[in-house]
Amino acid sequence: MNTVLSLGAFVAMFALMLARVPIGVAMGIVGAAGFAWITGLDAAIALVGSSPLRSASDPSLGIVPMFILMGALASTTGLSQELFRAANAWMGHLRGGLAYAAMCACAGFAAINGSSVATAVTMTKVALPEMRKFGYQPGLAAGTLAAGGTLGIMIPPSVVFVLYGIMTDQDIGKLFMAGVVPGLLAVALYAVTIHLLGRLRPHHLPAGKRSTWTHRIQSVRGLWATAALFLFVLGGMYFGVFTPTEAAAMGVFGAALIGWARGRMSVRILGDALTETIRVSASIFTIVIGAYLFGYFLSVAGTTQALIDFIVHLPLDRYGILFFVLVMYLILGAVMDELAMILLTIPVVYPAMMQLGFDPIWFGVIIVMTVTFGLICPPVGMNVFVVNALARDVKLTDIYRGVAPFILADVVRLALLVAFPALSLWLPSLMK
Amino acid sequence: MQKILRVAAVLGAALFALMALLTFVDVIGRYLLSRTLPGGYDLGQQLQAIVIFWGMALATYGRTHIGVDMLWERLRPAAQQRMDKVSDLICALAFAVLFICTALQVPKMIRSSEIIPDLGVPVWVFSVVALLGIGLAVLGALLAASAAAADVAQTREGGSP
Repeated sequence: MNTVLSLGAFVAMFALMLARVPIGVAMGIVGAAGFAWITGLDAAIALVGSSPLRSASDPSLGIVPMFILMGALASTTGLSQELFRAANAWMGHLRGGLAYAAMCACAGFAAINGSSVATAVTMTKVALPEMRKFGYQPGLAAGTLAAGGTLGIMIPPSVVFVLYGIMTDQDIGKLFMAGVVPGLLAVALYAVTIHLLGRLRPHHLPAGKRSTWTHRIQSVRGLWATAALFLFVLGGMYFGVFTPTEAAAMGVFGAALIGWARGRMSVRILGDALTETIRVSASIFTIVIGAYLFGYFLSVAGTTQALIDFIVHLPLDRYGILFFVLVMYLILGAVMDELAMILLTIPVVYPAMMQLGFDPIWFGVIIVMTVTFGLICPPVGMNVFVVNALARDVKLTDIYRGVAPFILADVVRLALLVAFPALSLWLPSLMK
Repeated sequence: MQKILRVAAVLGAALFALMALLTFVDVIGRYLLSRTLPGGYDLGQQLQAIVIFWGMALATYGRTHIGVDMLWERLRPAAQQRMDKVSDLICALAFAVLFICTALQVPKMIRSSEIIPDLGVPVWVFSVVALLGIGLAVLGALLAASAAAADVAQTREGGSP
């Protein structure tokens, strides 16, 4: 392995990222330059001329823009408001009821959209004003929503699961199913956290108004669309009716149909959702392309194999090595975007974990779970940033303080998922 | 130039809608008519590349690519604008290299005479249209850089950009 070159490449890549060069572009520049250094200019020109085009037209990646569009359409059709309204009608009167409601609504919204940031943004817009109106402590209310947003990448559909599946050649349908129980476990543990916080600091989480039974039943009626869309997309995959990409495309039409039936869809709204989707998808594909180029460089430099050997031969047992890897992810998650982290590290970490005998689907869940820490942990918690962007008067430090109890809940969840792989593997094992 | 990017956004959106429609019709055809859309899968694949590369132009011009703002946030506005200008120029350079390298592959694609089966359309046509998107990304990055440069000048004169 060319150690100096590889180290220099990592330093250069992080330096470019710090200079605000987009992550994908930074990885691509350093990857292509390193590849050219080792293999020569002609080979590098051929690689740069063919690899990005191949990645952009990769049919397995077609699922990414489709699920993003489905989420974009779902958020314009008022499903998020209905989820929160219904959850609030049933739980709002409890101490911390609005926080429970926000968490359940986040889970519901996560079921029809694959992004944690989108979940955090949408639910913050819907729930935060209400929580603040009822006197919730602002930092805690914002922290609850930042944590709730992380459900977006655990509860299927999930863009991170898709990328993990593509990179490791694992069944995306099975990965989605594997995320269901851990996602529900997250909701349960977050609910316990809210309950405990309510007991410890009752004035931070006041009770809201009690709804009548008529109102409660009426509120549930509005949820059929979300449930139908989720069951249609996931059920189609589960029973083998659709491939994941087809399921995503069907979900797009389902979401558009719901919007149209409710009078909330117009050509303009559809156009805006499409434009926003291609912009977001292009950003993700830029990272994919950059990660591939960087991966080629690491491969020809011998770094990939050297890192795999290093991990496998650590003087620890396999769970010790897993712990080491997860700590590395937590550190990396503090400075890197979750997609970039997955794309950059999986070619190294995944073969090592497979050599140690871990299950590929289970490991996918563990990795997705671990990268969620990066979304809410300082200094670069993307979800905390987006919630802060929507609530400028709430200090970033207050939101980090508010999200801290939920990070503890996530640590418990991670320990449970590592100790009991069946929590992740039971549902996929039932698939056709 | 901004008009061109607006047109690229509209066309990209329309092509993406077509891509989703192709998949939808393909599934419906498979279950209701027991037949798939001829060439639909391959056409969708080619459209995807176009949509993504054109989307890159939009993301580059709008500076909506995923990035790390850790250092940028701690800088004063003038330094932030300077950093934006440098990063936009680096993006322009990277996309220009990508444009040239991809363009160099086009003659090879034409010689290979690869076509979309069932439709008979040469694949290189789609690659060239996708390539236009990379070209637009270069222009988008340069436009963003010039806007950042204007902001720097304005800040230096004491105004707010």
